[in-house]
Amino acid sequence: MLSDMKNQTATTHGAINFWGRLVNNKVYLIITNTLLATNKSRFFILASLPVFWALFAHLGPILKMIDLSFYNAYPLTIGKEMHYTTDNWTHFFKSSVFYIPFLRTIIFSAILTIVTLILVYPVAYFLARHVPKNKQMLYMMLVLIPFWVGEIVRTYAIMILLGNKGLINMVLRYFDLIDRPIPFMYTNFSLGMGIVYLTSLFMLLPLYSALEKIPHSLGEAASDLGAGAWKRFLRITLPLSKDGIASGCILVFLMSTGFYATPVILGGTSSTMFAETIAGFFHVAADRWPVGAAFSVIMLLSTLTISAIFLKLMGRGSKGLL
Amino acid sequence: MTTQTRILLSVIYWAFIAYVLLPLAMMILMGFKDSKFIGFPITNWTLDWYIEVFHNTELLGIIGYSMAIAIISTVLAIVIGVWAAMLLGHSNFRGKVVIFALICLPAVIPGIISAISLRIFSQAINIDPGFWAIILGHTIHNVPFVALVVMARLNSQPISYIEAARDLGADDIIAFIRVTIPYLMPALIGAGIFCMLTSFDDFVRSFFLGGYQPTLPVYIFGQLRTGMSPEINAISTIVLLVSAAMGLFAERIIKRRSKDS
Amino acid sequence: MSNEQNDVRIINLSKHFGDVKAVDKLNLTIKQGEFVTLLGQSGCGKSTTLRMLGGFEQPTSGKIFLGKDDVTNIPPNKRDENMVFQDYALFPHMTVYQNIAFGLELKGETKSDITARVKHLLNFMELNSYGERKPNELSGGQRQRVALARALAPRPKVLLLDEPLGALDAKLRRQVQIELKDIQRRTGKTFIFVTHDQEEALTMSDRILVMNNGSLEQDGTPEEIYFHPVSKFVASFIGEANILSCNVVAINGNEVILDWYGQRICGQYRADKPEIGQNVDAVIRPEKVVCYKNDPGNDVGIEASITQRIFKGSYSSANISIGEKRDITMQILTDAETLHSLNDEKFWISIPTKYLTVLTK
Repeated sequence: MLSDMKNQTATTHGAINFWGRLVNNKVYLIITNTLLATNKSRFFILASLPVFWALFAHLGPILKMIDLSFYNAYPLTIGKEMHYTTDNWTHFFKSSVFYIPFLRTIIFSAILTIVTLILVYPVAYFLARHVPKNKQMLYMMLVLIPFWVGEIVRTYAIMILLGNKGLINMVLRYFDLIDRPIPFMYTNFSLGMGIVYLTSLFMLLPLYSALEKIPHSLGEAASDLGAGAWKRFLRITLPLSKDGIASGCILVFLMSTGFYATPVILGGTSSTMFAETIAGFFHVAADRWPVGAAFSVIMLLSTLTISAIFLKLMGRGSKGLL
Repeated sequence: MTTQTRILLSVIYWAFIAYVLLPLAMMILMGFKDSKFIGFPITNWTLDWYIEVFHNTELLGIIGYSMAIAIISTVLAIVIGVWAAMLLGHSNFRGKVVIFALICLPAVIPGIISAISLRIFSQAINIDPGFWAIILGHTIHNVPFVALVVMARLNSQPISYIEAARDLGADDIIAFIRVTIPYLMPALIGAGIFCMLTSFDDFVRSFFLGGYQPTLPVYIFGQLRTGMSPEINAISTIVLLVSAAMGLFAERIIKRRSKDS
Repeated sequence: MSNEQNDVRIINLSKHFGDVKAVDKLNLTIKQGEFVTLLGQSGCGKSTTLRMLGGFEQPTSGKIFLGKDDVTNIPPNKRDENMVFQDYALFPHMTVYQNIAFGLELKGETKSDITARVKHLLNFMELNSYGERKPNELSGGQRQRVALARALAPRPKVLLLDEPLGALDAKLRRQVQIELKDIQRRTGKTFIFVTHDQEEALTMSDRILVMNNGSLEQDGTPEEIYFHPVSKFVASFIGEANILSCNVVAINGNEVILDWYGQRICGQYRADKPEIGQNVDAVIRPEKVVCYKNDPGNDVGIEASITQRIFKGSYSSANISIGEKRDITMQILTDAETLHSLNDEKFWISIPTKYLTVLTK
């Protein structure tokens, strides 16, 4: 019946193009007339998938994780029954094995964020204010290229740079500055260098777009008024690039806390990150998932709270998170 | 601005470029080193590692697997992201801010927590670790990005384009397909390539959501932990070149297309 | 020519945005084949009316008929009306040909019919060699013609034009005005044109509908609107006007004797009848004021002197002061030679009764 109708339209209007046949196709008309009949039904269709997806796929995992964090055990092992408990949460405070990596991660990420900011700000400033407009794209491209490759490849590249037989040690040795290679690897230094390497683009882009928007005439006006270069920078450029600083710092901070592979590859035993602690509960073939879930929620809440406080201090609303 | 500051700034810039490019340059060099040991100095050169990569069927399978995941998750993320952008960009309703925030949510969750929560979630909805679990994870991770990029592009589309199409006899669906989609094309190509790269390069989600079959980053991670083979350099170099080429291509397409309209 | 089947009728049409009444209880009939202009300042409701005609806005109340059919709730894709948009809204990714064919394809016409129709329109619009170009490769005037061709292609009963000349420069604009009027004449289609430019409205329209604050202020031919405005708003909105505030002394038929600061003048009313003793406005266009070197006698002459001469090329205007010490000025319009010959000290003017319109609002 359905194919009948299609055949009919196809034969009677042989030379009509696809769209012309579609709008006169009875089946299509029945479908669209019912689906798009009123503003309400149109809105319903427009909203259906995004709202479902936002609630199910975006909110669902977080809610399920919170739910799981109150289970006594999961996946259930033989002989255990499921019930709700707050033990997983209190577990966190019981051993320094747990809260030390947590504090280390937060502090380490905060420090790295500041280091990245200081390192990248002059670069962004140079790109936005000193490179002629027509060359900015090219200069930007040079910075962008490495960021098209992923976390693992770049972490590995850092290993080659810092290893005992890496470039730095080789150069130092070549100039006879050292006898034995300096053990850069598996230290806080190598980890920090790796993380900064991974995150600096996310600092650069917001800074660049904030700095680029500042009209050049502002600096000129200030120098007319007799402000020195430093004063001009502190009084005008820095405050006007505050938005870029805020979003760059938030992005870098949130990213830094979330790395897993980089600490595993570049970090040492004294620099265990909380990500590794959390992951541990999912690797063991036991029912410890709820503890990992509780720890994840603790970390999520802390990082988001810190970001929110930071944004508040920078004088921006919750909009800055996005 | 004084000349000293200008010189200082350009020195910092080139130092930064060296910092981001040198490690990768070293890696590329290592791929041509004729020795089992990774490190300097390099005395003999070879192409063997590349030849080996192309004869390693396991590895080629892994690359294919990663690409399949990247393509499927990108298509899904684009469908959902565009749909969400249409909802958020073209209509006003109560709770719009909440839906917008929820659509963006995955973008602000630190990687490890995202991976863990997705692992728990896929278990809860009975998706076994592996192909589809990774696709779900990558799709969720990419939707906010697609939605934001497409919304930005939609904002610049004059409403009269759609009205003109409607006026000339197109219903909502045909107007969307024939007018809005072509207008969004630069954004879709850009977002698509970005999503493919993010998916192809993603480690943390693939690692926690994966089954026995590793994706390429998970495979490289395993190699790094169990003792390195110089093959890694060759693979990574290929990944780097392909990724950079795709990135540059996307950049060009976006620029040219957005000039057109 | 007139065929009631395709008349556009608007009955009690209102559109409210919250508390704002964009269009308020509008009633009109537009005959088939007419070139009608909705004229008014921005925010007067002209565009909203047009958008309701096109189906892009839902009226708060009232009805729209196209011939016998009530189209009030019909979506734009099912109305026999096509719109030319202010920014043309040509699809940037399609060629000129594809743009024009768009509406025909969706009407389900055969490929050969579409090709013939598009070719005809390209020829009609003198765009023969531009079929394969993209809109961004065309000039403003060409784009405008493509937009017109695209809207005409599906043979609509009514063409709606939303300030389509706004993006053109002044010179091109005048040329396109004439072209547009010509196209309308040749196609015999009903054109409903929206503009805020009074000169454009006067040049092209068969009928002008002046709108103000969401309702119809005056409905008439360009000549009627220009010489016999029914309100002070219309008088001052369209062209230059001397608005004299007077007091009614006597009424005789439709002639009104007025006292204008001690000066007796005579005018006519066409709208509401004034009352004796009422303060009214009397309107005269500058070019209708007659000038004399010497007192013409018969009590028609009013003594005047020039305070400022303004040379404008093909004509000149002057500000004049009337009755030496009195602080009344008006504008006159005449050719440069006549103005030049007028004595600086004093001369005489007269105000023809026929062109002095007495307004009560």
